[in-house]
Amino acid sequence: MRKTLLALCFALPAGMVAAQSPEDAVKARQGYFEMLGAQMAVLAPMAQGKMEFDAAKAKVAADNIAALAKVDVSPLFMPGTSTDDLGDKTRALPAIWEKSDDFTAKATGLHEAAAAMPAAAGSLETLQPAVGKLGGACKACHDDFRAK
Amino acid sequence: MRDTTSPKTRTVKVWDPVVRSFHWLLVLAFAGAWGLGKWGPNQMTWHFYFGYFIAGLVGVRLIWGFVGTRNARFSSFLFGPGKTLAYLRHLPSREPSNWIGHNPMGGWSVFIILGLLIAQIATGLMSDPKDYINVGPLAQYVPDSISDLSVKLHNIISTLLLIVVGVHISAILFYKRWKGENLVTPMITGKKVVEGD
Repeated sequence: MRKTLLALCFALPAGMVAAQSPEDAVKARQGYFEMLGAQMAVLAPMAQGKMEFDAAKAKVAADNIAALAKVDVSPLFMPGTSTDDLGDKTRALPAIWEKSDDFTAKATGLHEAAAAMPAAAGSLETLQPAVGKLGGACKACHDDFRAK
Repeated sequence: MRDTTSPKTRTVKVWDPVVRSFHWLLVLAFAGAWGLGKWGPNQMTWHFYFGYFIAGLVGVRLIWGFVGTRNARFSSFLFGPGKTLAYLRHLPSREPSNWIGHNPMGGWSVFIILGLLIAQIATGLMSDPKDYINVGPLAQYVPDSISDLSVKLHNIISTLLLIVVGVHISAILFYKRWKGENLVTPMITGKKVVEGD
């Protein structure tokens, strides 16, 4: 149920924004990554021992991030919304559109890492490597496609 | 090439063991940190360890710059514009400098390298690349704008450092090929053969 709701929350605006302004697409995009980040802000400190491991909290964040990753945000990455077009309103580099195959591969990396989270959230031992992979997926994409 | 066995040469101690160890450990650690940063695994734990090690090396060098042997002290190789320009004018001549310690140009390059390394260490510690796994240990204590800017600067300084290394190696080659002066051996053995008394 949570997954369905979450998916709807993002799938609907994502679909609508496609027909809207570049600025709105950027805002929706940034909101999406804020949501991903909010889950990571629970999972990463636990994995790193900066926050006490709480299986229930970890499970919620893991389920959320797995659901969020399933949302198709590709309509939000519409042409004309790179740093070339919008300056410092976005950090989405033109490379996203120029090397779209690579960008899709990096997105798939995130999807796979996120999909593994619910199963890994049960114990700290399994959470740690899973969070490492997930953060690695963030980094892999930021390195090439996010303005520094 | 000069005849270094001529009776007018003498061997002097130029670099103490701390300076030499610092230099070669920095070579290894810098190569490691840079390579790991560029091509290493997405989980950058080892890049962090190399960075901390370099921070330790630089820390020791800074202290040694005040209390170390003569040629290691900052005061012995901090030259004003006059002396630096005078040295520069003499640089193109095809003869060894026979300088003991850091010459004015070398001195300035040491300050530039140390300065860039300190900036690189500081920005690395404060960096938050928003991947939640490679966050610098000090990022949580600074505003988001600073930890964000740190990532940018860390990236720029990494290129600057690579350029500085390139210039440094080119200068060593220039002294060897053009001026007939071997600067590598002294950094290994600590001893340098110079002309004159």
